[in-house]
Amino acid sequence: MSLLDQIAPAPKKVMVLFYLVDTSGSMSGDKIGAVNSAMEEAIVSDLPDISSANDDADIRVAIMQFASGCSWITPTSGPVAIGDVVWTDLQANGLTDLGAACLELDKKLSRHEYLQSITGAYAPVILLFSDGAPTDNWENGLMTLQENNWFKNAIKIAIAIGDDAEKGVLAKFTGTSEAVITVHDKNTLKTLIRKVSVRASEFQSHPKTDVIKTPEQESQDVVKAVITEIKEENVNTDNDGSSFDEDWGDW
Amino acid sequence: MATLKIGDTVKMKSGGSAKVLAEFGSGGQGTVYKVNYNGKEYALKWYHSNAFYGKEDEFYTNLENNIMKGAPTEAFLWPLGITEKQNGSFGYIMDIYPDGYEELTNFFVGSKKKPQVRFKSFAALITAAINIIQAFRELHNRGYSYQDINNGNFFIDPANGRVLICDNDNVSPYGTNLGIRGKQRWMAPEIVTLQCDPDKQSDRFSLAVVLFRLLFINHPLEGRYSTPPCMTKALEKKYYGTEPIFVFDPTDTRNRPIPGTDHNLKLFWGIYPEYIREIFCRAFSQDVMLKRKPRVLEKEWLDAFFRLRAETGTCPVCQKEMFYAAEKENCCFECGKRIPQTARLVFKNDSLSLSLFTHMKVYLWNVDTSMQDIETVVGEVVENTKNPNLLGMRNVSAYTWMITLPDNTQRQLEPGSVVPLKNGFVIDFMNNKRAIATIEA
Repeated sequence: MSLLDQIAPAPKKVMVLFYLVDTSGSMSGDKIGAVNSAMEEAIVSDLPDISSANDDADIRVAIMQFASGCSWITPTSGPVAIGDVVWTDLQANGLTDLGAACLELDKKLSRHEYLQSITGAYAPVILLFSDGAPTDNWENGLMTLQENNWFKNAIKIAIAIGDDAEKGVLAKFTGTSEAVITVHDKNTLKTLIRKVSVRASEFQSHPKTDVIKTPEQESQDVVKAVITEIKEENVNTDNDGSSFDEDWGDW
Repeated sequence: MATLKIGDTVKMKSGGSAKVLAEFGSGGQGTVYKVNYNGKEYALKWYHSNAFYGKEDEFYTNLENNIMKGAPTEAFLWPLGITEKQNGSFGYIMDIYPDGYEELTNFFVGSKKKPQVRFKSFAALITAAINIIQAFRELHNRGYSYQDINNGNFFIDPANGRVLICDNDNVSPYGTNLGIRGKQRWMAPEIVTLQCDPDKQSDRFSLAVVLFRLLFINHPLEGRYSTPPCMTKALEKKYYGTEPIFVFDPTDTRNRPIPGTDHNLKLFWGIYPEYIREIFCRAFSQDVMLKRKPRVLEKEWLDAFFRLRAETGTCPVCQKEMFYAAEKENCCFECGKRIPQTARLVFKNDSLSLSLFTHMKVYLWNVDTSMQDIETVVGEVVENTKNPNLLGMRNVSAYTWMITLPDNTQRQLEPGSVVPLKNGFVIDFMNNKRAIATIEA
């Protein structure tokens, strides 16, 4: 065997996509169904494409559900490669313990926990999904989390599902209201999960205008780019009979 | 029309229209489709309408100019035709890259679907390096700079080292920048720190990264020092911009490879000749990276890699490839066996000596770089059919060589004929007294 046959893959930094999903009682029915199918499709089928032959980063995911308390859907041993996620449908019931979720996330955002890597890690991407208002002492939990350096540097984007979501709370989580997106229909939710995940974790050539930004600015930029992209695609799909604009206001 | 659908047609500026047949893939700037135009299939890059950083008209005009001027070399998948502007966007067509070529990224990493690609031979790897260097040399010679060299721009055939360079839409004439900065980990320090616009000099830094990674897979600036637990934008600016350190910097050892991630570096750094390690040490020295000294020129890279190509041969013991240094006894890096010193070809002008072993090829570049030729072989070392221990050099060039014997008599060597490798024989390769080398046996 020649030395050329003994090469190993290039070392690369880990980038973890954290998904925090509200599975409280108010999410039951259509909403949790939509989240389940959107997450399953995005993570099992669409996202593996971005991690295939990726020299920029080793992209991994960790998924947490929070309702009355919180738990990790992905193995508690740590984030898994995108292609290795086995999706189990989430069930909705209980309260909205966002504070507990923040404290649990704070614990895992550590080089000794979920961000352990000899090749180092990029600041993570954190996506929060919620349809209502927290029921526990979320301010305390968030305050603790905000002291975490990984969290400070993370891209943080929140997706408000329907109009009942407490957007002010979500904006506190992301650090800016510009990084909160409201969705009213299943298709947009699906598109958003996919596009936000791809955008936030993608490494492409920078334009000159792209100077060093705060994590909040970066999060806003991702949101802006995704919204523009969805609008552009929408122009194309206007007349093809899709249910993009279907109203599911009776959630 | 931000994206196209299969069956859509787009009007070409030069007349006629291209019909979308399939989607190849989508990236940050746009989507690439397979199209049919005038009965032939092409790739169409169709931009997102927000891809131009506010310089849409300049971008369009620049593409038109580049199409008119034509590709610097065949290695470029150059824009061949531009579409008319439609609903705030446009695109250009180029040739589709043929089978057998692999994306540069795949040489660095594999995926579940596709294992990591390996060069079939060191000869193919070195040829790929030469082809890439020569392509940028020709591009720069024409007054252009590429401005966004990264792992997504190259297709390489691992069997023979043939190279195709795509995404030539940011290629601009001297002094022009259409808004692009480049990709993280590939940008030159002065671009990372926003001191300059991308240009020929920043291309040369990125070229050095491409070459390093072709040979060593790992990134030249990523070691212990540049691996914090959490890489933030501010730290990226430091490690790739204001204070970059080469992993093998001879004087500053702070950024040595992290054990456990250094498999490729351990495998390959030591096997290449000293002059290859030296040119990389120079390209990634603080002075050169921070532009206190000039970047390594394409000509210098070509000299180094042509020498390496001439020194790449087969080990007589294990029959695998090895590098033959002219100055010393060699040791095969595959089987570890000692290989006795061979005869040498010592060039008069620039002190280059090449080892002469069976099947060794002398390229026109080795003989005379002013000919700008990277393809032509002029001489090949052959064994005597009756006694394989006797070696000679066959004139495979179009020129008649002039051989001067130690007693100063001269003989002509016609193309196709062989001169034995005897001590003191002097070969004038082009019979013009410029390209002269002495055999030392």
